Amino acid sequence: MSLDVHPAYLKLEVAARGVILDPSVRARTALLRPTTGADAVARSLDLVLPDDVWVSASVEERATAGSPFRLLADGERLFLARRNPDGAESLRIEIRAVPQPRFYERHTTRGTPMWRVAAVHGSHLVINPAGACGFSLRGAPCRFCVEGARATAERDAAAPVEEVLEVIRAAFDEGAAEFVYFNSGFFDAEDGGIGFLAPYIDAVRRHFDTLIATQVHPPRDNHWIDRTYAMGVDALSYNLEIFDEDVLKRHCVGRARYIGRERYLEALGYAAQVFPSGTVWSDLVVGVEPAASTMRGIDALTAMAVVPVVAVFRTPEAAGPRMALDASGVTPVLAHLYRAVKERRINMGWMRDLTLGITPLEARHFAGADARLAVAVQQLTRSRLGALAARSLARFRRRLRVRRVSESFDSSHL
Amino acid sequence: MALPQPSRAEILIDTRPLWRILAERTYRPIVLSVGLAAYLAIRAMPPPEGLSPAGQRALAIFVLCLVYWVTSVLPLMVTSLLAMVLLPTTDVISTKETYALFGNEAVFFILGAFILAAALIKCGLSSRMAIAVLRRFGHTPRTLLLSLFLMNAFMSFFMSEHAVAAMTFPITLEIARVLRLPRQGSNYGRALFLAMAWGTQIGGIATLLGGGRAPLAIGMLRETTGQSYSFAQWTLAAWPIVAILLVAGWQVIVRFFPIDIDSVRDADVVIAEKMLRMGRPSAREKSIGLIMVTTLVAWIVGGEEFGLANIALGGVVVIFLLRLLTWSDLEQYVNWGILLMYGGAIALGSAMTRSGASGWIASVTVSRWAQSPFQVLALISAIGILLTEAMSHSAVVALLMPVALGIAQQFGIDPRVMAPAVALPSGLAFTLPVGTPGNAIAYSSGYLRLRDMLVPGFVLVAIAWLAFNLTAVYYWPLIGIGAGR
Repeated sequence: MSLDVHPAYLKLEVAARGVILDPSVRARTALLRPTTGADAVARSLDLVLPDDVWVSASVEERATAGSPFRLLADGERLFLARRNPDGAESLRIEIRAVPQPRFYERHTTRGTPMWRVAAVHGSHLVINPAGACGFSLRGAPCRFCVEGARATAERDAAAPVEEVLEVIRAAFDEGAAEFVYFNSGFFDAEDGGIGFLAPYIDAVRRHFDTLIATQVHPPRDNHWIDRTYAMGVDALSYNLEIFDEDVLKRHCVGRARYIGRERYLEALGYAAQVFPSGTVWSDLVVGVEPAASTMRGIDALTAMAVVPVVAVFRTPEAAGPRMALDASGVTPVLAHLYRAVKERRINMGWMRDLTLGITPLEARHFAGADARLAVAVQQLTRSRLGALAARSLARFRRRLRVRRVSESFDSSHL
Repeated sequence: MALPQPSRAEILIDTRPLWRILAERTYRPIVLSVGLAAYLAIRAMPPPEGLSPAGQRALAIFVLCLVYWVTSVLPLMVTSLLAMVLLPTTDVISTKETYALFGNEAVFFILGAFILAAALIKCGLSSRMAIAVLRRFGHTPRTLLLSLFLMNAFMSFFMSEHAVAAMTFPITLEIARVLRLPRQGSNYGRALFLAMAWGTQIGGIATLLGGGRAPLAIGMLRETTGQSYSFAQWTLAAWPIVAILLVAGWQVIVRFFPIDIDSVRDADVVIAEKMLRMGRPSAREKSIGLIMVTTLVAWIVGGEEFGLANIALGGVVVIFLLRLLTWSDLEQYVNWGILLMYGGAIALGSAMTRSGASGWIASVTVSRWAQSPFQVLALISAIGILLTEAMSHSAVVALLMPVALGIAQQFGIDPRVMAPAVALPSGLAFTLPVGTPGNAIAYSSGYLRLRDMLVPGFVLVAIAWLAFNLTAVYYWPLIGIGAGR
């Protein structure tokens, strides 16, 4: 596979442009089950490209009108085809599509549709119990944010813990997800939103043997980061999104105004000292700021042992057909991503199966590297035994690292 | 839905390398296993020559306790309780004997001393004494330092040295604060806290009241040989060492940390204010002071006739009869755990001697290295002084006393010599913050670096060892405590 068609590059293109559904695919209703009750068919599909590269591809006609990609079915097999502007097919590869989970059609015992409580992205079950982004409620969402663009009427009330547990149980029983990923839109609390998530995290810890990732905002004081780790969070993100301060102020008004870039960086740096290597990350959206600025952001994050995940800038579906990706601008950024993380010896294995962002390990293709060892380790964690080992190691590490002050007094015999 | 939230600084994340944390965390189970393995191994081996089966079982228990006492993987008192469980269940001594030993007079003497000290602290008389001494004598940097040193020593004649250090620490800290002594690099600051720590330790060995070591050693001596010490006899045996160490300690402090301030007027003002705030001594203070003095006199003149513990408990009863202390006041100040530790240690020590285990240890260890009684004393005191730098004073006594009594038997030494030979050196930990709570408290002030304690402390330890041996060789025979045959 040549450089321009390696799976990571395909992921970028597919994520940016979406795929057109061939009539042969439209007949597969299980695949296209709607994610929300408001839709007639799914708006997007999770596709698994070669090398286990996951991508969320938009399939809505309005957004994908100009896409060169077409999803075709041949019996049980699925293919992704790319056509040149002259109509000739330049690529056809076999891929896997992840059917929409069956639990989306079910309701909780309280009567809430389960798709309202949690959504599967890659191998993560994403839950936002708050139901809304705090910045968008203040009228300051990030310009590229899908959540921020949602109408107020669509936003949900906070889900009770029991309901969340019920949905996680349904998703895990079905094998639809491996990890739980909590998201909190709160930003104005002293704890950055982690206090709101604490009861959910505690309940998941008590009921399931899984790894938990959270995406919250930086707390005002670092002791909340200690408590975030202590309460059972395995991976943590404070998403900066944009490194350039001026561009951040223009595109992410809420982040810049209410928290500020420096606090994001401080909190990420502190968290990287507390959490295991490779489990603290921040998204950087490529395509919004100059490539050189994104690369400076990558350097700044990796210098603190934080993993940058490069997210692809997508205009909302409602904005019409999506534009082609500027490959010449993106390629050096992603090659730099891989090299910077490798140079700093940050563990690349934890970040995987992200459908909207390019992980450092996926970015190896842009740097022309094999990264065999890192790939082999990541493959190992996909196995049942490897996943069990990863969970056990995470628990063991937490047990060793987390100390209560009272224990220190006890051990000092004072 | 909200979880109970720990307070702000309740949780800490240990970010040291995992292997270091792992080594630290596995230390306890490893040491517990080592102790158990040593116990089982000694039990399983054929009895060595000269050691009875009961002695072998006692030895196994002793080694188990030695490992746990030295490493503190279990609280000292729990290790003692373990010994008490094992002694009767392994048929070293009977259950009745074990618990009878626990009710030793020394344990009740310590209890009485604790309660009397609690009364002194609770009514404020001890603080008043400390402030009064500083007010009377501490007008220049030199006299203030000397007053603090001697006052700590003097108060430790009558109260546990740990309690004295805890009581005078806030006063010392306040003196350092009002004199604006920088935490880094102030000779006077270092001297103040060393004077506080060393004063309490030197004073703590002078009488039976400075700590539990001396009563514990006497209790073990009495249970094993029937011999004992009166309050006055003990003080008489200890005073030359105390006197030498007070002089030497002062010299070491002022030579290592020459006084680098000219005036203590600000401290004077604070001390005067404190005195003023205290007002006149209350009737309660006077009554407790009177009871304390009466008890002391009774210990000195009637200790042998009436028993030290009886006099101590008599004083306690009077305090409660006069309603000078409530039981809840008392509970805050009395270290009940240490009483359990002493009871168990006495039972184990007695069982070791009765079963012949301590004599056997002596024959295979010290007897091979020491040729004369004086060499024995030099060796035992050196071991005691070294061990106590890293171990609880009482644990050192609990470990060394049974062996020392065995050695006395081997060398034909008067076993009475062994009580001060073990208890006095084991109270002299001058070099490390972990040596004693007094050192730890002084170190916590931030004025002392480890080096500030280590080098001068080592000099004082060497002087202490020499002073002890000179006293034992030349002075003790004069007062009827003979080491030689």
